[in-house]
Amino acid sequence: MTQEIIDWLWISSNPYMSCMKKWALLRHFGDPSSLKSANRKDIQDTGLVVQMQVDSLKDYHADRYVDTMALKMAKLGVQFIPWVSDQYPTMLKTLVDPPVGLFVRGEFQDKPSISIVGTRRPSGYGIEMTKRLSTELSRNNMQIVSGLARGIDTVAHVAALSFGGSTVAVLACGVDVVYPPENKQLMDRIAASGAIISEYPLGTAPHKIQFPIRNRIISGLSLGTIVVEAAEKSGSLITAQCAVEQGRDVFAVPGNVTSINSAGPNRLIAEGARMVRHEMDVLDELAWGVVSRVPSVNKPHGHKLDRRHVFPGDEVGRHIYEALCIEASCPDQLVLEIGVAPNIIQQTLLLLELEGIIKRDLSGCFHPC
Amino acid sequence: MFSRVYSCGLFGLDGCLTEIETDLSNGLPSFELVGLADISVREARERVRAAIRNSNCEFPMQRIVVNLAPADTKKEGAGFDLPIAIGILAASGVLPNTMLTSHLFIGELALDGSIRAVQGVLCKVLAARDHHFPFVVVPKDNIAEASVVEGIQAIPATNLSDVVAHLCGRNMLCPVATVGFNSTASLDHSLCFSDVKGQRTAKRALEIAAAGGHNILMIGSPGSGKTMLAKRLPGILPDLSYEESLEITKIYSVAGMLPQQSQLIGTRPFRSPHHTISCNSLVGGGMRPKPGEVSLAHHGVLFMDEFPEFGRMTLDVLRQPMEDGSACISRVHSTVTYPCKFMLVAAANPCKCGYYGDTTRVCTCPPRDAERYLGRLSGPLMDRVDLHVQMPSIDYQTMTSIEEEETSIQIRNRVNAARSLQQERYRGSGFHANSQLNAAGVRSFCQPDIEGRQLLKHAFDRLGLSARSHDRILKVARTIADMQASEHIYSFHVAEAIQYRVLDRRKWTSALSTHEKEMGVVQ
Repeated sequence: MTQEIIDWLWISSNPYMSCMKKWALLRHFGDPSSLKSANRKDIQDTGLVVQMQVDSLKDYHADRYVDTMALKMAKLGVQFIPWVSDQYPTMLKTLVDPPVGLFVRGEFQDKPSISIVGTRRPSGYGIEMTKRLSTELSRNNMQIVSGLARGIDTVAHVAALSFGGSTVAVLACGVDVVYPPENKQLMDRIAASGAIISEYPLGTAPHKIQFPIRNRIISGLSLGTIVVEAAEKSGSLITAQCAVEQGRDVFAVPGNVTSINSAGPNRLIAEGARMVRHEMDVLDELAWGVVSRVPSVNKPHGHKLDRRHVFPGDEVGRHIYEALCIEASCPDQLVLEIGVAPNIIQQTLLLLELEGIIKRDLSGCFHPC
Repeated sequence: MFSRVYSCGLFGLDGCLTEIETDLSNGLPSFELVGLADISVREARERVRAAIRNSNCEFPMQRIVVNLAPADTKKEGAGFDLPIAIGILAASGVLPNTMLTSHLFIGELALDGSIRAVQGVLCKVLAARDHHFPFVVVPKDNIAEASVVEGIQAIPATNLSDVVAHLCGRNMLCPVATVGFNSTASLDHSLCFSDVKGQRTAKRALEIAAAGGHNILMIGSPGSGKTMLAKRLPGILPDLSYEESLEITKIYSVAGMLPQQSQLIGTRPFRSPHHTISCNSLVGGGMRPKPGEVSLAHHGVLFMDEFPEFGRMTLDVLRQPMEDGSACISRVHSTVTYPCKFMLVAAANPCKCGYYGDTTRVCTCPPRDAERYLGRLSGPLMDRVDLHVQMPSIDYQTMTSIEEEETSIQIRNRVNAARSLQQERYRGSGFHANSQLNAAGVRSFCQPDIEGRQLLKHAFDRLGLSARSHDRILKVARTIADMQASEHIYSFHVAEAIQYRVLDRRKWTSALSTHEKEMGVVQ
């Protein structure tokens, strides 16, 4: 690494100042090297920083810290891409508060991307829609960007990888920190074929406040952000807001108005976001040249439509399946809707489940596979 | 001068005959009470002295020694006041000895000579009957429970002078007629299953639980009706038999919780201890052993709401009583046993905030916590729970619908029918209900037809049920078949039974994790 890059690494790793603050200082002094060599008085006179931040800038141990970090990065194969590098993502350059530098694990491809975000507790519907959108957009050569969180993010990454497309995960912690813990394998897979990037230096733990801040990178990297499912107060709505502020497209997948998980996207649509029924709604909006003009939902999907023919004499089973296709329900609702005794409902539900036609979730509700 | 009067102490649920011997001799006036009497008994000296004086009798100014025999068992309680007074009066010649061998005396004395009620009278009267006493004198306020016992005449007494007059032959007190047992007489008709709207699945599960005597866990968010349904469960349990009613009344009598003027308890008890309850209060104990909540729920329902919040130790002390059907309380000198055959109804929220899976409110728990909350429920106690049922929250529309709901009476009739089938089947084998079957019993009585066996195997493979649930599913299937008066267990009985093992599924993980598994991402 050149000295210039090391200086960028130095300012990037400073945890005491926000991104905007760093840019203010850099604009004042010109570049990190000048900032580093400036003396205490000059820095204090700018009036931009408080004592603690000044101390952090003049910290004598900083060099050693940066050298250690550089060594660790070399060992782990982590790249550092500062603002001045020609590898710096073009889409981020237009931001009002772009990251001063990015830590990258894997190989970052600066190609057109779409972000897919959503709740950490999706319903079966949300999972299905995310799977479809991620797969089909990958088929159309879009890179999928998300946050590696539980729920929608994970589904989006996994679907892209399964298709063989490329995917980028933007973390709210250091690229060497595994969060959430159960996504360790996923992280390794993404690092192998795509990229894991973060604004934060190695070893930074995931703090609550870092998540909204990294969301601007998720929306900033892509042409548009899709919110699949989100409750009213979900963090993924922050990502949508960032997209709006950055002038990017916001897409939302509608859902039942009674469903808590669809409250967020439905509101976005009401406020002007583009409604997404399938990948064509996204691609058309972006005027993207598509691989095939037939939206995926019309292609024979194999099982979903054929299942209706699996009940030769079993009327109750058919009724239940059709009711579940309209809305995921629990046994009690089915008892009231179909008007059959509870024991028959329970028996039929089990048989359908064993056939793989429907699935049961934790709260006791069933939905079609 | 010497006299012997008979009374009764209490040991656990049994009365134990106590002889009260009084000896008067010349010497400095003193009053000694011997025979391992505890403090409440020893204080009888003052009460007896005052009561005798205030009953216009003379308290002998001699050396009085009263012995409570047998001398090596501890005597407790204030029920010996009356017999001690009678003994002293008899020894000093005020009363003749004639009737003392045919009467047993129980009662606490007030300072003015009136007789106060004591606990455990039913048990004591039963003991008196077993020892062939023709008459027993009990406090007036205890006469209701005493009058239930056949084979002995119970005489209500209001004060000491009345008893003295009776024994002198001057003014005889009348015994009370024995009351017969009517199990449906005192049923609580205020609680009915039709009060709960909707929740058909849960009601079905409770009916199965009642029919086979199975323990059940209800999972649902606050307000889904778990407590309401649990309170109504005793109303659909089979009718109480005379013996069961007698046992319940004895326990409540000993605990001092028998309602005034009540005879035999005709409804099954419902006890709902808070999850902060101490082990002693739950199982029984204390310095003077008293029945715990489990015994107070004998032949009834023990409702443990917020089941995951109960302490580990509290749940652990429940294990043995549930296994044996009785709670054994050991003290230094003796061991007291109270019976406790109860049906356990546990209730839990699906997660800590209570609203996971609720359609109307958002769950505020961190994602993984919701799964882990109920995953923590395990261990010997959960092993005894045969049924798990999830209850959705009730929406306004269902609550206000005017659709007819079944009454408890209708359900109980079906439960009674299913139970009598079981009694017939298990006659002479030692079991009384499907839930009590052991492994051998399951093999003999609960084998499904070939389709049922195949279904079970298929379900085990696909749903990842644990081995623990195998026998339980068969027992529940047996009950479901009994409810349809079917001797054979068919596959649809098994299918329904499998649905009541939600916590056993390996995939007690969210639909998301299943998806991740399918997509090749390992947990």
